[in-house]
Amino acid sequence: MSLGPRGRLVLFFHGGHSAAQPAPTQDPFLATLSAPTPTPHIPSNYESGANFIIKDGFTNNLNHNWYNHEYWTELAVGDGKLSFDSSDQDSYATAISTITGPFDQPVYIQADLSTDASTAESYGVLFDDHYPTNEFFVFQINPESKQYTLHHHIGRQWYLRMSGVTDLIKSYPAANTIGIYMNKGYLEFYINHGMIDVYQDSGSDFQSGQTGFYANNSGFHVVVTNFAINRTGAP
Amino acid sequence: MMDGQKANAGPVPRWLVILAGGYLIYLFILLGISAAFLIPLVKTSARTPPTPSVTVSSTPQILVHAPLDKSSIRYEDFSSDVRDWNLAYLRGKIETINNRLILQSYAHGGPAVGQNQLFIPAGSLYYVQADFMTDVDADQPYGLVFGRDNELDTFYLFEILPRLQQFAFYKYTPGTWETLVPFSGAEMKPYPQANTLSAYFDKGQIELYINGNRATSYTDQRPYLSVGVGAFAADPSYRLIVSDFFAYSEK
Repeated sequence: MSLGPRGRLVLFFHGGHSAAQPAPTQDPFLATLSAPTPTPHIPSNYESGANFIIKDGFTNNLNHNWYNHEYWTELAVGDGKLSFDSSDQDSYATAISTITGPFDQPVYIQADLSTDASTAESYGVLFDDHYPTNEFFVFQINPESKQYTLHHHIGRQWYLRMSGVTDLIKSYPAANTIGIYMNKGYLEFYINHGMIDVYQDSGSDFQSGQTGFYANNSGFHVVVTNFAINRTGAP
Repeated sequence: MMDGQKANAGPVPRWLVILAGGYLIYLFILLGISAAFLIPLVKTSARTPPTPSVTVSSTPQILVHAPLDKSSIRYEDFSSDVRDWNLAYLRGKIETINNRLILQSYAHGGPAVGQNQLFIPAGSLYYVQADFMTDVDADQPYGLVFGRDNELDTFYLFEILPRLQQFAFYKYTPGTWETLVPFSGAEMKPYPQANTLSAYFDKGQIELYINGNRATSYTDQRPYLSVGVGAFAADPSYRLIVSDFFAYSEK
């Protein structure tokens, strides 16, 4: 859904000779507002090293490290990858890690995601999942439209928080590396090692729930490799 | 003969001297009476604490059309999270930073709408008020959304452009902007100050206020009856900052 076009207002400023108005007092809040594009916490050549919370090579799921909420989700772990899909049309599918927050310091989640077929649907990383209230966030990409979105799911409702477009998203069949830096109520989103957006919700703690992956519909498998949650040290 | 002295007008009459003296005595008595009354007052005030100075409250409150039943007022200070607030359309961002709702458009030349469909219960009369400011001196308008129906994608927009001290009022249906009140002059605060925008809706009778002062009124013969509220940022050139939202409705 998009808002219909409306004529832009063109300003015409008259060059006058009136005395300058005294500058009004600035709201201190403006000084606390970060630059529209802050400095990334994760460099483009980031390597996780040994400071990880979880680093899954996806050899098997014998310890049930991965599970799903929906009975229509088909989940498989092995051969170095996690693969899942929705067998129910118009229903989403998830794959959730049993590793849960809250984490004691800022973390960086990163994984390589691809699909086994070309699709117009979106897929991505799910985080801050709280199963009892069916509440979680999903950061999705759409390789066809190059669009990314951040949704908050509460109960049975979806709330769109952020939506943009970036050419950093690669088209099928290439894998896309998705990264999310989390520091309590602050998030940075990375696609293929470039920061594409930030999001802030001072009243939230995005690190308090479980993490996983998300497919927005049926008709394709999401394939995940190289998944890790890393401690990044001081904010 | 000219000797530098004023020309003598002659002796003062005796009756005038008596009259002036009496007048002086009268003033002296009046002064004494006044002192008798004022001195005790001064002593009394010295024993009591000084009058407290008037505190200018910065607490947000409803500026006009306050309801009789205060319990019906819904207030949002964005101190927790944005749970029920979301983007109405793609290309933008809605977030909370330090008790402010921040709305930003990502659409080139296009707007963003942040909305809350469940802020107040449905009613044929409602009032909505919010404090708006921008992070830069915006050259495009911003405004208050009300009467929003999420399903039908319809709403009213009351927008202002502080740089030009102008406001306008629109009615939106999918793909169409109907200008109800074209851009008109009104007093409003310049950047970086906040402006309080209010809308009072009573069965299609709409009153619009800027900082508590009526900007215009309009009667919509085919009014939107939904009560969703929100904020409007005209384009990506600024971030819209909303510090609070008030609303109430009546059946």
